[in-house]
Amino acid sequence: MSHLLSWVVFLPLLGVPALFALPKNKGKWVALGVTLADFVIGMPVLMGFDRAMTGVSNPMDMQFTERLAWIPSLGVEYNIGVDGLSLTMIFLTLLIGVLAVLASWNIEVYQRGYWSMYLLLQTAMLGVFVSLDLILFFLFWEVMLFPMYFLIGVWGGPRRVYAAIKFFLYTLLGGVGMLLSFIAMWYYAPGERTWDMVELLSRVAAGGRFDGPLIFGVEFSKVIFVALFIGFAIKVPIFPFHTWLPDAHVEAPTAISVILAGVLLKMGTYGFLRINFTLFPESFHWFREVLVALAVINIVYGALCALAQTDLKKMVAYSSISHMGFILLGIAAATPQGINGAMLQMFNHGTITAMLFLLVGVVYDRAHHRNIDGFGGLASVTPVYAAITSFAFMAAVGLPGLSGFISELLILTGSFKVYQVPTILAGLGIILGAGYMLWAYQRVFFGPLNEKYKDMVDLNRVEVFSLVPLLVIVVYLGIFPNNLIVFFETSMNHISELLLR
Amino acid sequence: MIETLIPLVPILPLLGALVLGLFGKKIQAVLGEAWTGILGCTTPALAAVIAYGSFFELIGRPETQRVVVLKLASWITVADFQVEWAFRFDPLSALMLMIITGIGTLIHIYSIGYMHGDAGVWRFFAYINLFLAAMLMLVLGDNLLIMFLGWEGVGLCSYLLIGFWFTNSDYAYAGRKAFIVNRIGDLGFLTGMFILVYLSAMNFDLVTLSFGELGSRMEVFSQYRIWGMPALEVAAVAFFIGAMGKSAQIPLYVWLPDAMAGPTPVSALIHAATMVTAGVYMIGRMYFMYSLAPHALEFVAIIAAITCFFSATIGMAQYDIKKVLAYSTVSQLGYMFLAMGTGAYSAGIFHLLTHAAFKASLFMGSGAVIIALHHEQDMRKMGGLIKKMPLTGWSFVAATLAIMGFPLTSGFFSKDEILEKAFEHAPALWVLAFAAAGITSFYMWRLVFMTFFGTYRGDHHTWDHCHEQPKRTTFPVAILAVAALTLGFLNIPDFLGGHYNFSHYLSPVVVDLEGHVRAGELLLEVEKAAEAEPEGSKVEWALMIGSVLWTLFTAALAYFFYLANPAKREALMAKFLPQQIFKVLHNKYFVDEFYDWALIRPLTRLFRFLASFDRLVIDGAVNLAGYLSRGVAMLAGLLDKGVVDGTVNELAWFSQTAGKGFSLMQSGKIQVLVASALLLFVGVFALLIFYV
Repeated sequence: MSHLLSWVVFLPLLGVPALFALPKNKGKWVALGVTLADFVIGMPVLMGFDRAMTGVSNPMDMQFTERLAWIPSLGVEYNIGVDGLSLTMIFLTLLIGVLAVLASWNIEVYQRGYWSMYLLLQTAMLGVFVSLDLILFFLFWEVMLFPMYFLIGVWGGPRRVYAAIKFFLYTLLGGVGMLLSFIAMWYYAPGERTWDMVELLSRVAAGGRFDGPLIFGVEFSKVIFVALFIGFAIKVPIFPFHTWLPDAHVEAPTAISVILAGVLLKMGTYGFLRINFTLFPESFHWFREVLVALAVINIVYGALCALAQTDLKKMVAYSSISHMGFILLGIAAATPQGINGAMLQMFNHGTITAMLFLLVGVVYDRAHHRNIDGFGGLASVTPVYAAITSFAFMAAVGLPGLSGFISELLILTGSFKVYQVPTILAGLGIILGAGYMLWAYQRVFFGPLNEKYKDMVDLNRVEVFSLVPLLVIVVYLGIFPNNLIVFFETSMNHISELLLR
Repeated sequence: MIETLIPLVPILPLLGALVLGLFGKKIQAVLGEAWTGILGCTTPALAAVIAYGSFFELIGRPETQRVVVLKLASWITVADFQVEWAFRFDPLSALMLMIITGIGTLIHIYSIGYMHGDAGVWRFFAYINLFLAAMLMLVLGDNLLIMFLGWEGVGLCSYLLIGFWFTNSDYAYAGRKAFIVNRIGDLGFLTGMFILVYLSAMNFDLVTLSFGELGSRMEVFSQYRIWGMPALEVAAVAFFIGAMGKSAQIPLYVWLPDAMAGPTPVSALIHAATMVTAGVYMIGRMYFMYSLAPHALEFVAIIAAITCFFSATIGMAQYDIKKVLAYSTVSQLGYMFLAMGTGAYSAGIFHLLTHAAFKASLFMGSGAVIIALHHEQDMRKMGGLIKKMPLTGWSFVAATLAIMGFPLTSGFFSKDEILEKAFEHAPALWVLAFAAAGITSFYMWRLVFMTFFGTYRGDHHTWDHCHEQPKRTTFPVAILAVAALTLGFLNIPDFLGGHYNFSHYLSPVVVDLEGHVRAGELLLEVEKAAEAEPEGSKVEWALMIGSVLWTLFTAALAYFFYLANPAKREALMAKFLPQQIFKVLHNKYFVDEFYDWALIRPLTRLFRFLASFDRLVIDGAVNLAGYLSRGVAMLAGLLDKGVVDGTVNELAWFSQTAGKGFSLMQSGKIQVLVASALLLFVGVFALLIFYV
């Protein structure tokens, strides 16, 4: 199939007409079928991927490329392709896409609307990860906002509208800076003007620079760098742009939290790697200490805020902020271990946090609240649920033998080479992580049984189906992480070279 | 045989854990509790058979071929950072395997009786199998990362088992405390590892964490400094911080006494015989590094001597039988670290061995008492039990003789050697350790007299029902008591006509590791120097006789106070000063309270503050900005309709759309909106196709 990648990206969208053709309660089956089919046709991309090809800054090395002129007058193209950097993210998106369908099995209102938004979101996310044209990238990036806004704003919790608007506003604000930066980058591109980010990067790697005028007396590339950084940092989210996340998570339905934490946040760190840091290596060095400081703040501050939460989902949301800090730390360190660890963490955080949100959703479905102190002793009535939760919590805490440990270890060893003290400070996040996770676990599952929940039912089949694949992946990658690392190592080592030059 | 079977040693209990963890509930429901227990004991027993068989094969080999490294698969490979799944079987890990599988199997068998009647027997055996797997991984690992995997694995199992009866909030709390305190130590361990990786990356093409290669690189590493200090010293201290957590040394020992909340077999296996000695083992394993870090070793010795002394004093004033044993464990671990710190490497490992035997026996004996008295742990409600449970009682006495260092018991040989090395090294350390030896003897005999002798002080109903436990419970206690009496003969010192067999058995570990012969030589020099001195043996005799007399004296004191003349003790206690001292000791020097005041509360205040800061300040700023821009946008919209102005317009458009979207949602016309969003999207891509 010559348009394989386009099929992967747009297949979810093709499911939308089916939603309206079939009775509305079949929506979930359509979504499941479509996402599963998408996963299946995505496999040839994974299998056929040549791991020895660098990609990143070598246009010839991009794989599964498709290129069509789109707006010739401006040189905008439909330009997609895959390298080690995007491949893992595509795999993650396809996987989470299937599992989150299972997590939305109980959606009852506006089913057609929900599933069409869901599928649109899936296409948009995949689009972001395959786009090689700045405008196309931006288009998918903004399109993603729409379904997300409605998914939170319509199917969310009590304060959903506030959360949805906040999410929208924040991301949009970042998006504006991003668009302006993209235009400036196009205008002042080294050499001939182009929106092709791989081409741009190859020129930057060859010594080209974005040579624009001073902006408010500050060097052009620094301004653009910061504007881009804010745009992507909001998505990650990096302190102090993070407050939309806990609200969005708390209000979003379970499946959307899973996607949000599992995939969406990675679009920010993906942007760092693909566009922001690599295209402006000098500004990256100028800003590097700040990046490290922000990463450490994210890790420690997120963990401390997680300790204080009384809402289980909010705690997981803050833990997410803490864990995303590790990714920034690895990228800022830019050593091969740091960058590869960051990439691995992007995947591992996706699977582990997805588990956490799925599990929070389980208890919310049954008890209709998430107050950590409002439970107690659940381990006696729902042993399977307790066991899988303890597994997920241990994975989040970074227990060796599970996947999260490998990526955090790589990041920390990688960053220790460059920044010793910040690395140790980041290590505090590991201690605090054990603190909030075990404390929450103890309050929910241990102690005397709360009589209110003595009839609570254990996990049902759909819930088990949504959790087990993640569980298997988390164990598998803890023991054989190389089987994933090989897919992106060549590309990541190359990025490390580009950044450290 | 070694090459093919050794990997099975950790894998077998892991399989046991998996089977019991996944299907245990059904197994217990269908086959019953007894079979679940037997299934739980099978894999450790098989592992023990392999471990002992491999040991005999190993000592059959020439000394130079007693290090077997098995590389199974690659674990993590990123650029120059390469870690393998690899096992190392040498005299040191062989010894540890025998301790772990041997005592482990006995304690498994003991658990069948101890856990009788508990609905979660399957869960208990699943956890404790998993513990064995992790512990075996820890000692077998050929690199720091596998060791760390085991290190964390045993921590997890310890957490799960301390909180085994999770419906009790205190138990669950103790489990969490253990895990978190250990995590603090883990950061030390990780830091040490990072430093070694850093040093490797600076000097070599490949980063390795494998012990053999690290050993050969130490020479180079010792040239480097980090944070203005010699890098190896910093790394050695960092690793020791990890050991402080796992092996309960000051200041991270606080979790261990609370860990006694777990079922008693757990205390015996994990919190006495095996897991808590992991730190000692780690230093033994990394001795090539410690021998090049003399200041770090000094630090280890000082911390160890202080821990040894202070926890022994606390042990004197506890009434909970398991708490006494817990503080005793902390104190005995102090002896082991003292040995490591003073360069008496093999003495430390030897004490690890003898302690494993007598402490496991003591814990299991106390467990038998606790079960016989219907879960009574307060020694004030015991007494005279030797009449009811003679086998347990006399085994307990035997193990107590060993721990006090009664001549010719195992503790005598192992502790004596440590005291002697401490004396040679620094008399101040010896004073603390010597004092602790007497205190040990005192609190142990106090425990024995209060529990097994004198008259029973509990209620009569319990006394009438109290009886000796079944054989499956008592025979592991007795076996280990015999071991506690006899193991000492493995390492009879030269001056007593022996040959230090045990030390010679261990020496290939240190000497024959390729490349760091220097460290080994250093060690041998130390040991030879001790052997060669002519007056040396006089000092040795004097020290030995001194400590024997001292421990006998304190034992007699315990006899006088707790058996012969309790009235005298009470009279003494009633006086002001002894009472105050007792209060301080009984409350463990208020260390938990101090930590609570100095760490937990400030931390709690900090995170509460940050959470409010997050909500009020940062989020407040966001909301404010939102409101302001909305106001500006509206204003702009009113004043200047139609003027396109980047950001502001975007915002105005947004707030309008959002408002509309909101009202649409309210009025239920969501489909319209969704459809239009989709249309927009499809339209854009239709455009795309048009342009092509």
